[in-house]
Amino acid sequence: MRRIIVTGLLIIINIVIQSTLLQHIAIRGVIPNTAVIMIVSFALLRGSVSGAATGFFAGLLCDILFGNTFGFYALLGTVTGWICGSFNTNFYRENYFLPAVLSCASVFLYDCAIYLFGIVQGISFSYISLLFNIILPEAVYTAVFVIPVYRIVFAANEQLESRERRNRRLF
Amino acid sequence: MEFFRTYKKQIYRLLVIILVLLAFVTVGKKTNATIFDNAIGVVVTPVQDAVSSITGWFGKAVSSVRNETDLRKENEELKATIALLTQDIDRLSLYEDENKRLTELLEIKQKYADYTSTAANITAKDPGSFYDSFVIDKGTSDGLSANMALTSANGLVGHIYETGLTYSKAVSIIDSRSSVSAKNLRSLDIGIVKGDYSLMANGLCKMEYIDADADIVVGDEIVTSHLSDIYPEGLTIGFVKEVYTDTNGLTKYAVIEPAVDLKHLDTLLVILEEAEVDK
Repeated sequence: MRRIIVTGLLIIINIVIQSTLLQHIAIRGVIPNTAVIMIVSFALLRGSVSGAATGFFAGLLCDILFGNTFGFYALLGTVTGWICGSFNTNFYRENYFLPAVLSCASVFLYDCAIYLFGIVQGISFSYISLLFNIILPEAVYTAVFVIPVYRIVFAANEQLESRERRNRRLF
Repeated sequence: MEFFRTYKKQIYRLLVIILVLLAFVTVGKKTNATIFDNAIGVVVTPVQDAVSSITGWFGKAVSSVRNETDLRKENEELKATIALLTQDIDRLSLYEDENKRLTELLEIKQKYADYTSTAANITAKDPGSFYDSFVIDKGTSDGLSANMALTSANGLVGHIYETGLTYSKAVSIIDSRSSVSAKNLRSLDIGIVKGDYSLMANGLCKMEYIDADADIVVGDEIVTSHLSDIYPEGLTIGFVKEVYTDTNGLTKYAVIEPAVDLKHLDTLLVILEEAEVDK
């Protein structure tokens, strides 16, 4: 129960900060996609099912606040969470390398999915200009932000797990 | 010697008489200095010169020391006055800016006086980098509903595409998903103003489907046309920046610079009336 509340709070705070504060540090219109970083971090720390659930709710929040279709970002979040959750086994938690690489790749695929969905809706983008102007800078900028965000998620997760371990030892 | 001593009194009296006589005789007759006067004057006056210049130097040094503390005090007082005046100027220029902004907002209410409108603030922007949408702080409880136009002091900003109870989601005119039916104010040629992803990064948008024979040049003002279901007629969209002919040769397209600076949006006005479809 506590786990759900803490995770939910972190996701909500992240969305609020991402849509207000982070807008001010945009480089050429690109801001880091901290929602994806959160999903990847939670998935890496807890596994596929947990990751997919976190991704679903984070995506749903994005949909409600910023999307114009219901469930698109939720679908993307779920898929991201599930796939990244499969890297959970044998994952050395203190190392930032895997979260960074996975976040980078996830943001890349995330943006490509948004591009495809835009084509389906009838908006035409030029993929090459999109690639160099948005997708690659966003992936790099997101990778830079993995370090603080993963640290926070990791710390929160450690707190929760140590509490659960203590409770379990009681019987 | 004895002569002088015995006849002291007489010699003295004689000297006095001679001097008095000399004085009476030479009074008023002296113009040029005599040789005696010259001799003494030439020797004495340079010494006088030197002494008075030294005393003058000392006098100036002393008076400048005395004046310095006065000057310094006066300087401090003047600096304090300047600081106060600069503060006043800053405060007044802030008032002046606010006055100008509010007047502009008032003017736009009077310009679109036949449309009832309400002010709203932007609370959040889309965190993705593909689209340019935002959230404003009024919703159905304030009388807003979907497909209402959003304007700012200078012109059109976008339209609302979804409303909740206390918030609304809106999309700006340079977003790829937005298209506005527009016309050239000068020549009344019709076109569609759409957002384009590659132009959105620079804050520009595109006007398409302009007839190849249409009269449109750089600098023309583009406004909303009467053909739109969403936007009331006559709202300023922006100004033409460049004009190109399409590859098919039948239509032209133009790059439009919006009249509103979409990167620094402040307060917005939501036009509450739905546009009339056909007058």
